[in-house]
Amino acid sequence: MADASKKRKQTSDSAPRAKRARFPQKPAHNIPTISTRNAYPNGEVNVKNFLKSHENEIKSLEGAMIAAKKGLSRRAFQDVPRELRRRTASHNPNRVPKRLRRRARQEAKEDNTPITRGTSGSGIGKGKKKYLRKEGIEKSKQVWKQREQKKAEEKGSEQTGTEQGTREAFKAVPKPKTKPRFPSLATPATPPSRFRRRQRDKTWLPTHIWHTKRARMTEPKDPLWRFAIPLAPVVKAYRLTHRTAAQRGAIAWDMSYMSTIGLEGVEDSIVGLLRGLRFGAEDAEDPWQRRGKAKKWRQGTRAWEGWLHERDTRPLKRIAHVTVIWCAPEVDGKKRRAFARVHPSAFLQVWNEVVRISKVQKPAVIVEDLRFEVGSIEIMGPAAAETLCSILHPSPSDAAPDAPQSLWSTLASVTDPGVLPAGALLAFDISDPRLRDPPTPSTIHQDPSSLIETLAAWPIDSTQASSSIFSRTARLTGQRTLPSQKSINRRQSANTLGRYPEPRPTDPSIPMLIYVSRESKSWTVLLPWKCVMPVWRGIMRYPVSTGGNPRFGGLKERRQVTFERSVPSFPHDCPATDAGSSWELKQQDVRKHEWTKRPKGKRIEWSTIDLGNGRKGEIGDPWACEWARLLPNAPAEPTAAQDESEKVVTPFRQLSSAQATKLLQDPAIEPEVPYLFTVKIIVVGRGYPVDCSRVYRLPTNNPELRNKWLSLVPGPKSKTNGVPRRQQTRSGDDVSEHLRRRELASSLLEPPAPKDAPTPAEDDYPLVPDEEDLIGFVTTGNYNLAEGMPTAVANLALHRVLCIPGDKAVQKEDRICIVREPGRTVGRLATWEVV
Amino acid sequence: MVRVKFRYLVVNFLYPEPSSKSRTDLPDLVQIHSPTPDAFNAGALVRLIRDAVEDLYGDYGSGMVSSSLKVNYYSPSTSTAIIRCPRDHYEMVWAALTYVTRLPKVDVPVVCRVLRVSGTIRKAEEEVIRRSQNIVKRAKAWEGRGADPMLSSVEKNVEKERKREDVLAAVDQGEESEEMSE
Repeated sequence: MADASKKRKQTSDSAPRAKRARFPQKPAHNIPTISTRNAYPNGEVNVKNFLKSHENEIKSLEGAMIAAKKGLSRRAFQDVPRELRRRTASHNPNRVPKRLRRRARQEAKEDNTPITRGTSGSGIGKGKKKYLRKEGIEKSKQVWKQREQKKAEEKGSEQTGTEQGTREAFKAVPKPKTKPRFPSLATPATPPSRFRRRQRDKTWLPTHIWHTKRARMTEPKDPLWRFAIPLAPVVKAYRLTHRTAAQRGAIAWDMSYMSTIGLEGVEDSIVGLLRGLRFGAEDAEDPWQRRGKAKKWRQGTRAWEGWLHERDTRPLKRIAHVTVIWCAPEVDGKKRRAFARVHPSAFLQVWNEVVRISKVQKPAVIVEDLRFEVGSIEIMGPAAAETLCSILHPSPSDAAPDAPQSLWSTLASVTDPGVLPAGALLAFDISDPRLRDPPTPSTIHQDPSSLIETLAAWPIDSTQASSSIFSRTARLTGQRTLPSQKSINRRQSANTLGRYPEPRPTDPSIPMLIYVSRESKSWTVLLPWKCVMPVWRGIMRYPVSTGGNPRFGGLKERRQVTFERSVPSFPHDCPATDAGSSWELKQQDVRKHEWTKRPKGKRIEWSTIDLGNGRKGEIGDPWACEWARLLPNAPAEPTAAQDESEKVVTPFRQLSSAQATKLLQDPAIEPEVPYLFTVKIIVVGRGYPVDCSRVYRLPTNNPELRNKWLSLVPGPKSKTNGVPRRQQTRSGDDVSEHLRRRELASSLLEPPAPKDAPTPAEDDYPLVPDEEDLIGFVTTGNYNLAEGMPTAVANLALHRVLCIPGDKAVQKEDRICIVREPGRTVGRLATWEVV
Repeated sequence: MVRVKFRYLVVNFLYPEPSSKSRTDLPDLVQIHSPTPDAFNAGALVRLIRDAVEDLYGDYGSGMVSSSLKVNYYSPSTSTAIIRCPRDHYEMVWAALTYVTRLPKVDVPVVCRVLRVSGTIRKAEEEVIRRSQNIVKRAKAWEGRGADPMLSSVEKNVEKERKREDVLAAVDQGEESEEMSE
């Protein structure tokens, strides 16, 4: 009889036993060794085998150290911190990176994990469909197998002659070179065929593929300025960016999308061209002097950043912010060269103007479009200099001890590019950074006096030779002679003692130019287009002396860094330029789309906003900064039909900060052209200005409301500084007993304290002023980590600010404004100052 | 739980006397760092150390040391080993290694030299790597120039010293030996 006590069958283990521990507590630490029999075949001991066995030992120990460092992985992919993880985990070996596929398949086999071929999207179907189609699936598999066999046979016996014939037919016939009457815009190099379709209406940056794995890019159908630009890294990086740029580390951007225009001609014609475009007309220093910084700039040892303005307009209308770099004059040549770097949003306008004015010069200036030939990387942060010193190694050449090559390594300890002369420039050829990979931390010299001497004397002004990045042949040679990664790997593995491979005469010498910008505190490196990727990879792998590696940023981080310094960034904060206003239009569409895609119950209904005092509805388009409303003779409603064309011509003109402060101090004649000037807004108390917020001045026609607003201003004796007392931390535990008693007694005896300023929750809070008090809009607003409080960069209209009854200049108390987010009914008090 | 701490000894097995089988004229460097025969493996090494510690320190010694004794790395081709031993009694293991004169199964005279004692295995590995690199460099230099640069510089210095002081006592070979001193 069956065993009654064991009625229930022993359930077998549902999952097969894993052959390896799934979660090993202590990872097995096994260092592979080679036995004597294998290391010394035939038992003979000679020097060659000796060397080899020791080298193998070194290799295996280094491998063991690396494995121990990473921790033994559980699967083909590792458990890595969030910022290093590339893709989601998968048990399907086909969804794992190619180099790990073999390993994943082995592991799956060991663990008896079933490997299923994905059936989603295929006609095979799942479930019922699959069962019914079983025979048909078998048959089609056979057919495919036969077809493949036939193809393999055919390929072996096919003639290659026919292939060659077709190939020749497709070779492009070289066009006859006619003298171009009108310089044409450049086209990018043809990308490899598998990427060609995606680059038909946009261009990829040289580091595109690297960025796609780590950052959010622009939408494929929606590129910015016809480039695929990384918008922000995948990792949350607001605070990290601030800390890196301000305190420690380095952050780098691939700025190859900045357009470069090459000018070639006699020095006087180029000077005439730039003067005609009013380059640097508003700068503090005159770039056309015969002495000082201007002279050094024209000698090709400094870079100058200034604004270009339209021709024949009075007052001056800005086009774009450009950086002009001259090439140091060659020994014998009379022709000079220059680069003008401009943001792509304004490129077309600048190009048209430059081409037209170049024809007028006598002799004519040759203008070239170098957008896809010169790429750049911008680096910021205290560790930027040491990163660059380690990665950009001058190619071996005998140079004077004062030449940029020799002084380059001494600049590694510079943490603030402000110590270098303004616009300092170094140009020399560098060797391939992949030969010196992995990068070593640059030695920081302990002796500061030589560095101080260098910085004070700056001998590079006299020893800078003419840079080869200005010549097309040098750029192309540098690009074409870049060896393949395989050959570099071979060279490195031949070198086992841990040093870098020896330089060879066939090594490429890459032309490079690096300049420093004081206003953005950054180093910019100009390189030929194809050479940007090796340098970028080297930068991202460099071990910073304070720990970690340099970070990278996207467009958002670039804007954040300039915003934290409260400096307007072109084109986002410059609505008085055509580029700025077309950017604004694009942003309007983006914001409108954001609003429309939310369901009606969850979004702000603009038309029913109650601004108090019987006013309903948001002023103008809630998604837009309606500059048109600020025009002095603007109609109440903006003209409905705007041009369908992308080009928007703004009637506004931008004032530089020096001019703005002057006009505010002492308002001269009533300007007939509407002016805008940029200000920095600091909110008093609570409140958070956002992009597109409306900025009002204190109400002019309602003195009672005006006083109410002024009462919100925290007086000089206010201890709470505008923040409600509830929020403040209570300190004073170290105050002694009798003093506390005294304070309590006095507070009980004194008259009741005046009420705290009313909060928006109460009815007493003053209302938002009328539309006629609107003075401007906020273009960028966010929490400013450098200040520790929310600030904003806004543009105000000059005529509205000055339009105060009584002809006095703008006093301190008139620098108060009220900021209101679009869609909110509450305004916040804030102060502004010219930036 | 308190963490049990160990010390890692980096040990080199040196062969000062050439084996009778050698035919070619090897540089001293290669001779000293000859490979160990395969028959002497990691297990044999552990047994060797345990027996030696018991020999020197008796039951107490073997009790203290033998449970935590482990060979982390042993390469017969380069005669290098990394041995783990308890932190407080690593000197016992060191002394035991010093007293080893011959390998047990294979009767080869050997000198066990401890290169480094470290608290982490990472530093022990780094030391082995460094020494190997040094050896490779010296061997390569010997190959290139036919003379070991380190040895030749030492010889040169000794010559210089000798030339300066020729009042050095001449050393007689083999006249007095320890066994006969009584």
